[in-house]
Amino acid sequence: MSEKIKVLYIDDETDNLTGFKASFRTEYRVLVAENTIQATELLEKNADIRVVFCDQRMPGKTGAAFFEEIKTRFPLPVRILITGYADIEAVIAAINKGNIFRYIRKPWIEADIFSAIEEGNKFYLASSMLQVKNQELEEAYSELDKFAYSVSHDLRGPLTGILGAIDIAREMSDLKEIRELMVLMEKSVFKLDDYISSMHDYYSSRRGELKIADVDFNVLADELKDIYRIYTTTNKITFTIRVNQLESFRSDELVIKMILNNLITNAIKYQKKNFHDKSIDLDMSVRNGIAAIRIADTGIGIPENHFKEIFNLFSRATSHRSGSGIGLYNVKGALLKLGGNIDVSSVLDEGTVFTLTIPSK
Amino acid sequence: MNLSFIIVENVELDRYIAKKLIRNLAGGARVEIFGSARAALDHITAVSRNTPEPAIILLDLMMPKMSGGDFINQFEALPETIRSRYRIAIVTSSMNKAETQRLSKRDRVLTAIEKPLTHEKFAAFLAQIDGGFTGS
Repeated sequence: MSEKIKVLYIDDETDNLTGFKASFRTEYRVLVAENTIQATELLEKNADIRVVFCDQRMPGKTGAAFFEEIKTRFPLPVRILITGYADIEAVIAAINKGNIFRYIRKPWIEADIFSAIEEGNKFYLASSMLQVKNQELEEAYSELDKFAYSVSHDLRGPLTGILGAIDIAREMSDLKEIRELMVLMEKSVFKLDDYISSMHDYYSSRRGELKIADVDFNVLADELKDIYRIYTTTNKITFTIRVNQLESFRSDELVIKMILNNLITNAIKYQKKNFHDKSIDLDMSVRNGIAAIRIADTGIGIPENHFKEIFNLFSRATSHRSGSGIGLYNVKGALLKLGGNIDVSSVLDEGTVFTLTIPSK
Repeated sequence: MNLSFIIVENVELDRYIAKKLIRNLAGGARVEIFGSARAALDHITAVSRNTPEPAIILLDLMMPKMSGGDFINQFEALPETIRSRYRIAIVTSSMNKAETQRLSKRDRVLTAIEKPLTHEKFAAFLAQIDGGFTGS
């Protein structure tokens, strides 16, 4: 076992405390308190206490009353009352109110305490796990809320635009005018398509397991050149890729491709209009077990106050271009999965540089 | 009545549709177009005192940075002399009906039209405001 279970014992008789400590200190990490004030302080300082034993009969406050008091403030530690026969009514009341997990009869024997700690620990782990799951659920729900917004904004928005365009096209007879409308409709369709592929990336990268294999960045570079040749030539963008891979590298190639595709698509999408020297520069090198990737563009840039939030879900730094606000969120999530990192630096109206590091697995 | 429209919409296609429908159904109306709520609000604040005729603002809700809701909030803070020259018609594809409903009840907001904006819907809207809005 990696770490001892932390246990707190409260009793006004110091002899009992000493005896308890002597009996269980080898198996558990034992903390003791002579009164409930000391006990509260210890609970505050030790958030990892898993089981609390408390004597029922103490001057000032009974064990049952103390447990009732700490129940909401320190909900996780499992509460066990130690008491004699005379207090059986108090014990029953405390159990029924849910204030204690179980009780141990006084004078206790070691076997009872051991079993109480082991059982209490199981209960502690189960409820901690439940708490973690609850938190995950809450996060999932808040993501779902954002998704609902995004469905009406990013899916329904372009669709209603296209429907409206069809409606006005019915009244049009001028071919030139109709063509003009088609260009705008096409943009909306591209936006929808863009959104759907990033949603796909999002869900597959969240659920999927990593498939680790050798990654050859030279092969990857050739593929990327092929994929983006048409886009870059029609948009008059100089796309250069340099690779310097001196050793083998292991990672999930599909995930790396998804990351690069997102960054390259952004670099193409956010170029300055009417700028003559458009370029995208991709540099990939592998050294000492780390792949360092740098992608620089001559685009519109990102305002500095947006650097942090661009990786958030549905965040958009610009209102002028089509974008779903999911791409960079996916990139960040994928890099976390690979154990990598991403940094951004940018100058408005000059360009953006993304720097990535990915460790070999 | 001499109508005047201000389109506040971040999506190019939707701006085009609104402009076209105004041309088709409200012939001689003046149209001003803004791609963001901020730009529209700045314009209104700057020129409003000299605007000869009252204008109807066709307001999209889901816009980045400053939403249609934010626009309405800031519009309400403007002086009465400016506000009285405008009426707002919300045009949205939002599926958050409750929010749209709430916003459509705000001061100076005439109605909420669900996208897609079509000849039929826009004609019905024009019939609804016909003679009913002359500024105040």
